Amino acid sequence: MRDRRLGIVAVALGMAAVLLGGTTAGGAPAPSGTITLYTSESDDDVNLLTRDFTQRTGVRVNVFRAGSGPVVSRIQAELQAGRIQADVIWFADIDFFRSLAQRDLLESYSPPAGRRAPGEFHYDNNRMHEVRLIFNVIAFNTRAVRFKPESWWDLSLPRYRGRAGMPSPFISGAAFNHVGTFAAMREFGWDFYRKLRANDAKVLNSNGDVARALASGEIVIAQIVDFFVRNLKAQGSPVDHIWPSEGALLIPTPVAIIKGTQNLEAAQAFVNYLYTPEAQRLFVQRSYIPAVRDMPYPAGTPDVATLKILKPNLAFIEQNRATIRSTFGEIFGIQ
Amino acid sequence: MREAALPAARARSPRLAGGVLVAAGVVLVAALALLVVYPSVMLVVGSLVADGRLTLAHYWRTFQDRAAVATLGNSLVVSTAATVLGTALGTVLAWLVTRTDLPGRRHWDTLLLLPYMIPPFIGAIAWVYLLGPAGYLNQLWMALTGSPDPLVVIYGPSGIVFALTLYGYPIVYATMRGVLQQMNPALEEAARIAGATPARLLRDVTVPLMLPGVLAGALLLFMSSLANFGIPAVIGFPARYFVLPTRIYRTILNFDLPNNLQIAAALSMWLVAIGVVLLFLQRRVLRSSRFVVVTGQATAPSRVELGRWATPIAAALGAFVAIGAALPVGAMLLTAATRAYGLPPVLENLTLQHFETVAVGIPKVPRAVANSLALASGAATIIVVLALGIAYLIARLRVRGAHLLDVLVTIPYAVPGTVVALAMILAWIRPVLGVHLYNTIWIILLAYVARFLIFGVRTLMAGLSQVHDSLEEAARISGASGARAFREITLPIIRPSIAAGWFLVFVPAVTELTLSILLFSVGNETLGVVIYGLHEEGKFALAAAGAFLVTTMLVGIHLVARAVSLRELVT
Repeated sequence: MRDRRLGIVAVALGMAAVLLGGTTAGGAPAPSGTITLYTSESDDDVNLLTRDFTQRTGVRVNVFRAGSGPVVSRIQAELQAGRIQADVIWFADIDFFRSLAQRDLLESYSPPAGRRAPGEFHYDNNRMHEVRLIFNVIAFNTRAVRFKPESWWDLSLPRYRGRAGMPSPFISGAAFNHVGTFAAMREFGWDFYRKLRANDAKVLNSNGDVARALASGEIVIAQIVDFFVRNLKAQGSPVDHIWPSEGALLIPTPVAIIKGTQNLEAAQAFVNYLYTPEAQRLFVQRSYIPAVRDMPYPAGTPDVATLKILKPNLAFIEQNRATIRSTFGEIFGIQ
Repeated sequence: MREAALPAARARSPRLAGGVLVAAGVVLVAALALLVVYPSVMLVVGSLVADGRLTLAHYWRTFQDRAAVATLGNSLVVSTAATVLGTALGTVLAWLVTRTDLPGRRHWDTLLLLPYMIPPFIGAIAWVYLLGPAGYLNQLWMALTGSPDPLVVIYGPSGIVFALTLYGYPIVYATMRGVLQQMNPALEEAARIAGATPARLLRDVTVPLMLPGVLAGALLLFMSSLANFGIPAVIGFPARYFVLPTRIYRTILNFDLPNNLQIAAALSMWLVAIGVVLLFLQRRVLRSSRFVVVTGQATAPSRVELGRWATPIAAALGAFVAIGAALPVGAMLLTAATRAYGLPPVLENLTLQHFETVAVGIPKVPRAVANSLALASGAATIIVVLALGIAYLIARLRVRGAHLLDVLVTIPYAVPGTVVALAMILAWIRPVLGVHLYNTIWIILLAYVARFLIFGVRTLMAGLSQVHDSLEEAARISGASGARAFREITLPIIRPSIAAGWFLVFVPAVTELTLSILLFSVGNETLGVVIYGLHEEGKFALAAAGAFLVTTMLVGIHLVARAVSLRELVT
């Protein structure tokens, strides 16, 4: 009699031990192994983050880092051949991400640490997430420009004739979003671009190209992604930027997990890691505005209340891709 | 003198020496099938498929796309101009260095090859650093003359032709150098003895002898210009001048266009078609005349004495090298040595820190150096061996269908590198016969071999076509096997062509970008990818420093190789 009761208690205790001791907080086994990340994030940022992540979790990250053009090309080829080989993808082309989501190629995941970020940064039913914020702003060459610009319309001021520049929407997904969003806004519209063209604004290649032209003085004012300017300025190049009065355009740079990944736990751990205070602090260290609510902005950024942010008009862009392309092409004489 | 002074080559196949040659031939064909045909077939098939069905729709579409046709037109214009200029330059320069008594020939040789050793993308950027609206030369001009406008802006089709010519003439130069070194001086001697003036000698003897080499070099230069992406992207875009490779790239990025990759493949086939037509024309020209042949090379060719022309020619060469080599290298140096890009390159802003950072401060760099050197020398060696076999099959054994090989070898070069890389991914992403190639360094090697094989084949065919069958016949009659005859008679004679072929592959393979950037994986980064990555991220000074160091490294390798090699071009 006593043996049987002891036996039942032993089994019960054993089960309790297994339940409590053998699992992590999420109820899943601890992440391990390796994941593959395809990204266009800057090399320094990626190295910093993946090294930290590996130290904390032991998961190794194989990184394929290239501009968004090669990354998009490679993913398309892999898809065509049958399967995307990455586990996690992270680059600034939300339209491409959404097309993947539409084909049911992205995993839906709600990272626990992600609750610290506003819901609007979890896109498309949690299939992609914003972990830190970058913006299109107005940059200028400090040796050539005496009065700081203030508005997007300053790009077509007569004194900047032939000396204003922007990246090509045919090459940069972020630039494409910019054109599409502005075209749909009443305070800008296509007239904004017609005016730029009339003022001989230059359409360059990528943001990197715009940065090069701006720093050398080939152009003196530009639409460009903020961190390019920050990095150049930190090295000593004669460039700076302002936050435009109408608003800086948010450039979505989503992170997503590929459906069918061989290492789902590790992939999820990585996405979750990006929202943790440790990772968000690294972003702030690198002067990015964090996605989470409770972290102070980096020094030098205007504060939350005063910073005016424009969001890309993804719905309009999705419906009108061909028109946006052809109208812009017509205005600027680019076939 | 069109007819050979020697008996005309017979058109029959020489006896094969046993199974060795046949076995070698089989291995050769199998290797080729693997390397070149498989991805090329994927490409061709891909261009004919839409949503799983065979169709000509993509081709229809490309013909109707006015913008695409316009970019093809642009491509043809700039490529033709660059080829004409580059061939003329390369041939004249090679003749000067190999066939005259120009003082300091060895040094001129290195300087004339230098532009080829500059990483192509940075080479294009270097001209923007020089002659962009805010370029060093323009800023100098504006400072000296007080003019508000730059002297000349490189952007636009003329700038593209300029850059293509400057970076492309070494292809013809290197090919011609090999050909001229092999040429039998006896024929020229005979003509001179018979009383020919130097001009007549040139026209009736030297030029016809050089024709296979000139056409080979010109074809390579044309294809290289046609498929070039970096120069038009950097120099054409700002002037809204587009060529077919840049349009193809845009099509690939246009992911919401259905079947965009297939359309890109179809557009690429245009470039292949042009290449094939040119190949055909070249074959016609060469077939219609008998090209006199080397009969054993014992003496070094006699040199034309320049006499009083030596100084003006040296001055002209100096000016040419100053523009073609010194300026772009100088621009890279200056940019690399400036503390931060955009600051004026005055003494207080100069620093060596970027050189140090690139050389020792970035872990990827030494790895990339090792990878690129290994890949490039591996590819060059494999290509030379394969090309020897192919050239032999086509020129000697006259195997039927060997000409098809010629065409197949052209495809991976005619087509933009991005498209080749995509075809390689599609071909090799799944293990084939248990072999896993994707995401290893081997797929990059395979891609390089497929891409640059044409260099080997064309230079070796040009070289081989100059060597008369009679030499090998003589050896065989004396009892040597076919293989031995080839190894001990022909091979030593065509060594200059082999060296030319190896060099033409090695150099661009070290700095290759468009293939590598899609095919690399962790630990397998190449130099081109690393340097371009630095530039693309906004680290311009570091990228320039890296490019400068790579160019220096290649020049160093060239000098060492030359010092070590036996039969050298000039003494």
